[in-house]
Amino acid sequence: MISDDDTVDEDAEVDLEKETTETSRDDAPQNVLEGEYLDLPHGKDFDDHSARLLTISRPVRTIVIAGPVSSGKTTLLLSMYELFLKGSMPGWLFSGCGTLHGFEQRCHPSRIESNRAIAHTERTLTNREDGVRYLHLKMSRETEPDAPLDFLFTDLTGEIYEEASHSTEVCKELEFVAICDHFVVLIDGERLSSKLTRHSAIQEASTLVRTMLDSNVLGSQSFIRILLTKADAFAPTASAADLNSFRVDAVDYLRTQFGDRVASLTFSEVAARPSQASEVPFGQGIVELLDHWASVGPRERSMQLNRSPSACLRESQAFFYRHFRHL
Amino acid sequence: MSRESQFLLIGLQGAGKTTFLAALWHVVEAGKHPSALLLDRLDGNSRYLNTIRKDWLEFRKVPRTTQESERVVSMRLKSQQTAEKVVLNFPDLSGESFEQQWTDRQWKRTYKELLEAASGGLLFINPESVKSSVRIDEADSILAELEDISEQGEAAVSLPSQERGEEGAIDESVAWDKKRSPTQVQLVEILQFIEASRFQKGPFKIAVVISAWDRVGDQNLEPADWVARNLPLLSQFLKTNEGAFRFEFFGLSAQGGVYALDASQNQNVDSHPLDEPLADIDPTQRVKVVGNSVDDANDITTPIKWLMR
Repeated sequence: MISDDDTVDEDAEVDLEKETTETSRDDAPQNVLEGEYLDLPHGKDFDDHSARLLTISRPVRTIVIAGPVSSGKTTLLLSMYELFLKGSMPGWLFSGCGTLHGFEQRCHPSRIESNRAIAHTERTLTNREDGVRYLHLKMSRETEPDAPLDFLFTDLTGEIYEEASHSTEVCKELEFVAICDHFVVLIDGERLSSKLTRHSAIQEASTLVRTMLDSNVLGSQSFIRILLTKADAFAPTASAADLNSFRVDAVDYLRTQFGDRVASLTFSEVAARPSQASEVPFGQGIVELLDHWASVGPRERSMQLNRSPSACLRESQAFFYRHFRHL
Repeated sequence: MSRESQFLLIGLQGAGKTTFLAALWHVVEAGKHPSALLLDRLDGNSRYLNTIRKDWLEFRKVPRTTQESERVVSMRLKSQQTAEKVVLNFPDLSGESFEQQWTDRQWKRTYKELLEAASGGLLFINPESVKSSVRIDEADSILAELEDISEQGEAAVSLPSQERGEEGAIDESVAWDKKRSPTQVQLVEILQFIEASRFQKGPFKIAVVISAWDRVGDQNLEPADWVARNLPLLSQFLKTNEGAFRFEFFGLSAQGGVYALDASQNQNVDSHPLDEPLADIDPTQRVKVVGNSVDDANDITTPIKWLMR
């Protein structure tokens, strides 16, 4: 028997003929896991093409998260992801994610590994030329673990929506808005809590919705949620009553302006990442949002079709016009 | 006539894959355990298995598998209860290869082929090397509590200078390092890759093995509950993907305890959890297995028998 250092062990029985055969097999490379590498999915944001591939393969709910810069669009999504990481999403279970790298990279500045003392979300830098970007999550209701729901969430810079609010032409370029299941307009709660900025905060949201409606990108089939972010900014203060009154008036105003132009106009508040000083729990309001997105939407409604113009020659064009009034 | 099955050993670095192989080889080859699978016969080169078994028997940490030393290990086994014979193939992959799937988004073609031929796998998780994510607000809450109970003047928190608003402060923030991503996130991704590669095939059986189980603080905790508590993302993922995966949880201690010293020294070892020196125990008895499917707490082949069902 040949020992490790290739010297002969004289005490061992040796069967030379068998050993010759086994030696040739011994010399055969045991490291069989060589060879070329194959690429795996990149795990970052989905672009429009990747998103379309997903929507072709199975039902997907597309949620557009819109709002000015620093209104909390990305933080909302990151907090949703973080709640799943901790198993803290009542009624919901995580089923999968095609953009784990995208989430992890974005979450990093809000974790202790970043060596920061204050949680931070990097500003989203995509612009219109980059095209739409999505983060993906698949989740299941606890009561239906075998029936997962796919969600695609847009993650775009607020500047795109600021541009869109000034121009119907820019709105028309945002085709992903026309086909989304839910259009969510964020209003920055910190701005709302200041008398200096609260009127402009409401007006920005109103102008964005109006421009989208007037450009026919959104319409009678649309499901819109007006979402007040940073709800922890509404902490009890001396002016709390005045703030609450203003919020109620703002909701009434927006409902009056747009309520009868869309299929659904709803309102809620969220504290995706409350400040340390507040006692508001992390991610307050997110579960209700998720419940809403999963339970109502265009696909849950009975069809209210528009009459196709005679100019439509292809069935796919006619279908799109009947459902979305946009060609 | 024997059937042939291939099971993957899946896990990040230090998860316990190779230590398991070493202990498994000893148990099946020694043939002392009444209910475990036994070695039917030797076939081919057993040098690698014998080498790692020697380390295991002599209370040395089994050297981790490197990417250069990856190989497929085969064992011809038989059941003592049914006399059924089976050839088990275990691709012994390095933890780095699995981590590379997460960081570099690549895997070897040969691994993909092995995966497609496999009917299941053992997913190893070492509770002592699990990386978790901690949000800054979570850490702040803990630090605030500590500050409340600490004496005046003790510096419990030191803020980076930039956050303190100091003049000329240097940005001390650290860029994202994919390798430091949470363990449960990396494992979910690895399983998603497995799921995607097995499109339209039957469920892939996963024996989730919490290695170094003797190091888990609460020994009354079931392995499934440990995963739900410490790796909730992974737990949710498995629950909601039963179409793609069939899974069972096991707690396993293949070492039997903590070795006092590293592989370069062969000295006395640390105490057995029952305060009985490891060296005084028959090696077969060093192994401990717990879980819903476990009938015999020393039968290291239990997860494999579950995979074979």
